[in-house]
Amino acid sequence: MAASPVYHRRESTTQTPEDAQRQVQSAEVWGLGARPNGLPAVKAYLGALPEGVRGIEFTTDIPPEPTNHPFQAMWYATTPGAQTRYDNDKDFVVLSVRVLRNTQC
Amino acid sequence: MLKSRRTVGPGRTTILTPIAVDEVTALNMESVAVLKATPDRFAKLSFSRGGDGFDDFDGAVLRSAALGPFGLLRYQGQPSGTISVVAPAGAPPVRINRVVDLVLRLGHLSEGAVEWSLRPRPAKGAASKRQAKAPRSVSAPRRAVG
Repeated sequence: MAASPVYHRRESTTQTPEDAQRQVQSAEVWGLGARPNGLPAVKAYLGALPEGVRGIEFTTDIPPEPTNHPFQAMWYATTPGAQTRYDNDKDFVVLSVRVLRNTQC
Repeated sequence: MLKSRRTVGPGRTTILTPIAVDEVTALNMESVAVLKATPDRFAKLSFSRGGDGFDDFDGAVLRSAALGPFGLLRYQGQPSGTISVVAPAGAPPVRINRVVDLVLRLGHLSEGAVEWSLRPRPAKGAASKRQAKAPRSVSAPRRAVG
């Protein structure tokens, strides 16, 4: 059986160490819409977290949108298997994940 | 303060206005193409640090009178030697392809520089025919001042 694809998110203004801690604890990655009527999405880099880079590496059973993008994976609310949550007046896409590495500690 | 510049080509006038990189988020922009190029290829553009739901980036965001807003982003984690073209999510395929055409002209790049695009690119023959009919040139806007 083929191994599940691996993805990563790099530390950034939208991937803080606090976000990483929540992602580890909840086994979820949340994605926000860019504006109230924008499409919320979870976005991540394809592949393993490069050595020396702060971020999280995760896998999920939910395939991303089939865009064939060379380095970016995206999951929308309409992506089969993705969930949506309404929290703090905002719509989120929620992806169930297994965090393999967190180098943002 | 940002200034706009009118550029006149042999067949068409293109007006490009630099806008704040925050607009990438405000306008809900998404990646529509990845080009084999680096920001220095677009030396006349002013790149600033920003970030969106994907990653932090160095980017230049412009508004074309004809095509609306679009941006060139170099995400911190994207493969070296590549740059991303972004446009508002849900933009029609025709507009996406025209934005990519415009960016190629801005960087003096050939169609071969397109590593990936969200929408299929027009066939080369069709593109050259169209270019032969309406030759266009475009130059970059002034750098942001102030």
